[in-house]
Amino acid sequence: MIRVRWYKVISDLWSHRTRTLIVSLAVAVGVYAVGAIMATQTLMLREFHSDRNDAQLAEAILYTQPFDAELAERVQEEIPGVIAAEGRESLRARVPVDGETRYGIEIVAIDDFATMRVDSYPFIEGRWPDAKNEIMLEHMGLALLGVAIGDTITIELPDDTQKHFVVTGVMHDPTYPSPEITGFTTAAVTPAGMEYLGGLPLFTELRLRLDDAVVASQGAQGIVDAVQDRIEKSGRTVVGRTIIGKSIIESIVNTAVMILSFFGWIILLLSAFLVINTISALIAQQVNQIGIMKLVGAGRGEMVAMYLTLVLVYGILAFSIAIPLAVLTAQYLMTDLIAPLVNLRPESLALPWWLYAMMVAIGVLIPVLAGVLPVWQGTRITTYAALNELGMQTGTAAGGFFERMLARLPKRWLQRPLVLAVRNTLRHKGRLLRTMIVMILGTSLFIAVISVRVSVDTTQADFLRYHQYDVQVQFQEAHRIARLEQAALTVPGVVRVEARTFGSASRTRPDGVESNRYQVIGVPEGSTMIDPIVQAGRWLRPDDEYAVVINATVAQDEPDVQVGDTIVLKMNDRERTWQVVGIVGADAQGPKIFMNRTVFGYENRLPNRANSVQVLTETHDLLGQKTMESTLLRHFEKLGYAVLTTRTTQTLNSQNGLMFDIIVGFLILNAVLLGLVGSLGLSTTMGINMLERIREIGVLRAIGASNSAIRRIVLLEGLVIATLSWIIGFALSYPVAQVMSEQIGVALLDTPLSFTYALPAAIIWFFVLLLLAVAASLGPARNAVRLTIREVLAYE
Amino acid sequence: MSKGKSNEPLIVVKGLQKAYRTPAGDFYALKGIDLEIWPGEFVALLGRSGAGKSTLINMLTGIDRPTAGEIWIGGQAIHRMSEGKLTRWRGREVGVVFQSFQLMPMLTCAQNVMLPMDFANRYGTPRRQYARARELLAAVDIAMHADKLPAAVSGGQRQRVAIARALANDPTFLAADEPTGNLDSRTAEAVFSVFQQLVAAGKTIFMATHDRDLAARVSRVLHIEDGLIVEDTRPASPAEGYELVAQMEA
Repeated sequence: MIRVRWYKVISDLWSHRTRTLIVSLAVAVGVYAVGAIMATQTLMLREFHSDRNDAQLAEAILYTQPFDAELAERVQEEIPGVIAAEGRESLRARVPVDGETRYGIEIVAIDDFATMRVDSYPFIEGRWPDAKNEIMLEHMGLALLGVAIGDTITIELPDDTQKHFVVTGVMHDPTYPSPEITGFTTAAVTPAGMEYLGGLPLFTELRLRLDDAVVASQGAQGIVDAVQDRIEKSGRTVVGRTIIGKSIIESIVNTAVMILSFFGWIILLLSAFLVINTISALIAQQVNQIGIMKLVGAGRGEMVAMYLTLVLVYGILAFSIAIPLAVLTAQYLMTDLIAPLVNLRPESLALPWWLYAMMVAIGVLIPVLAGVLPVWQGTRITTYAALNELGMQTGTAAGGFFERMLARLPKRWLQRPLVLAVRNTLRHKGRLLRTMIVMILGTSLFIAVISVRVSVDTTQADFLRYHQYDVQVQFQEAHRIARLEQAALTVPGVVRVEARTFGSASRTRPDGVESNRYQVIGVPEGSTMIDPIVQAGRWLRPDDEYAVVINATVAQDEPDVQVGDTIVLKMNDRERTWQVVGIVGADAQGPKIFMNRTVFGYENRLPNRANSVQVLTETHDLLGQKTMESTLLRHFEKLGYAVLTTRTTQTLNSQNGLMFDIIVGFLILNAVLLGLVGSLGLSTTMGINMLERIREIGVLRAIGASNSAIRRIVLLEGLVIATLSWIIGFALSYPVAQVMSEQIGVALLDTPLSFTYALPAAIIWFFVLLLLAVAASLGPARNAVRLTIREVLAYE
Repeated sequence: MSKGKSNEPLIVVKGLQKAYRTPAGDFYALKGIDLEIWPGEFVALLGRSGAGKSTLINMLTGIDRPTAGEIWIGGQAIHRMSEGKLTRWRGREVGVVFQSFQLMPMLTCAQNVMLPMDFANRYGTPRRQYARARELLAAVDIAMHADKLPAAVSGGQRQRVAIARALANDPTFLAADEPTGNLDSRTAEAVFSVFQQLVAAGKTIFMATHDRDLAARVSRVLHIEDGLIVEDTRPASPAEGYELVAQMEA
């Protein structure tokens, strides 16, 4: 037998099961939101870092004339700050998977698979290649190409020769996200295999891992300079160098973490408000019982202990519901969304103990902390006030500013039920404020999240403004523009053709340091297939000569460069000064420098030549573009042009879309959680309002108010709260959405998203709120009108 | 409570005033009450609605606090006690019975009786407290309903539970505010006879009532009007009591 006071606690929990469920759910939403978010974040970051650590990713690459493994060993031994240096040789080719489809493949030659120390592809299954016709595939490539270990694949080289390789095993290359995003997969062969593919059994890439401490003291540039000197001393020329910065995978992960952290705490805060409201209301309902307990000798400490125990049970119920759901959500997001998109191979889905402890702590702390103040205040009431339920009369009937304003309004403006509804709404201002904060934040963040989602779509559409064509064909070499265009125009269905020239350049900065290589695009003067989003300055004019337009990604990498500045670009081994005339938005395809095609041809010794055609066709849908892509491929190959790659803008768009998928997935998850908390907030407030006012309803009925009149008052009250919250939330949503859209864009793409406000979402949310208000009010209102007047007036 | 000796009053009230703040200014519900109640007395407080009966009961039980004046009960100055001390003191030394019963709806009748014992940490384990609660319920003749919820028993039975709860910690002083106000005359009579038995057993009872018939059968009758005791009589017999009460009402 337990002490009788605990029977009261148990009975409070059991006999008010709906209330117990609502409060527990309110806490559970908070625990779930923070738990799922923290668990996802923890899993994602842990597995992301472990994945990358296992792969010992290169931090810098130098492109040079062919060298052997010995030079790499020398660099590693002699240059301070170089932890590991290894040679690699790579080439891009295609793998035909059926008559029409070919996937890109990046094949890397590795000297010794057993001792890889840089970009060391973690082994998954099978065995490393040994013979010249053996190949190891990236694990996602296996599915992409639809092959299994032991199968033979065909590699189609740029010169159209085909080589056959046996797949010996599967490894993991975390450098690139899903092949669905990149459009290609990676594979590893032996140097003999590279020779078999027509390459050299030597290396042209020196991949380096650097010592963090030395990087911190003298910078990566200094180490790379020393390596470059060492290579040049060996008589080789360094043709390019890249210090590897933030990858797109890191951008996605960081943005996802940012979104998750922000919303996790916001949702927790909202759910805390919800719990404070519910517990305050619970205490208000218990005032008479507090009076009785005081009457028979209960001290304040004893009552506080009883109520906090009650609240603690809500917390225990809440985390019991929330923890399994949060863990399952995190694991699902990891295995079904994050891992396949960013190409992660989670080693474990186990969550650390502290995460469970944190969820338990939050589950217990939210209700206890939220409950301490209302419980402390509720038990402070005098016995006299409690027994006479004077504690309930905390609102002002006529004294407040709003009430006075309401009283002054001409009677014909406001019907009696509306006046009563507004008055009731304003009666408990503290609770109204807390509920409204939940609903206002819920409303503004919900609209903002949907706006970011829409902005993502707009941004994707904006990316396509740089690709106002249907199919692009890139060639291994530059060809005469007139011939390329003529050849394309003979294909039925081709409406217009534009040849562009692609190349690369590095910037020689004022301090003499060379930047990473940027893609340079020679755009035909007066091009109609590019519709740039000019952020500063202007777009290229046909009469521009040594003028360039840089995109936002280059501007991010070269923060000192402004419109009107001159910069030195090293192209084709020659340095030349160019004037920056404009900065345009990024297109998620990396840093780009645009210049007129003529001057590009002149500077690269390729006058009137181009290495790509952009083709506009009659149909712009995916099927039409895909058909045209393969038609063009066959057509150009038949004419003897070596095709490097082909792609359609629909594919490009869906690849960009995939990159955003994780972010959009998280945004939607958060929108749902926010919607849930907002709905719960309104429902609980309305439910509690009704419980508190059952006596009042009895009085109204006793003086002749019909059931429908009472229902109308109750419904109007819900509608007033919902409308007020929506108006304020709506007003806040625009700036919130703008800031979020900018922050997410900068985190993901180094440039703000193309902001679009989701007005339809705001309107839909308004009606959702109204519906919720009606739904939340109907139940209690129905219960209240069902009771007889005698029951209502005797209600305890 | 220090049990008052028979030659010392159990309750001493001096210059007791109680004012309530209203929008129209302070309203004095008690305007200066002086009173002594002796151990074993059964006192009825008569008066119209708003005369100050409930206010005086609230002052004597420490439910509410006086604006001015002193209240000494069993030698303790309850007007000086903090809210917390008052609660403890009341739980151990006073039993209170209300017209509206004031029972905990979610606890059984026996558990309602056990509650004061629990908060006062008296009568040992919950099992012993339960046994005592059953004894007390048997004393008020409703032991058969011990394990029912208050909602499952009649008004009179609820009032008996409230009386049993008031006796839980064996106080010498019981205050009852209109204890029969919600009951029919037969049930009211039964409840009154319980009070008579308690007085016979040595308890002191202070009862505010509207019921002239009951008031006439107590050992002392006080008449309160506009916050002042206007008559204080000790009828020698029920017949005299009826006569006195009739005169007061007139």
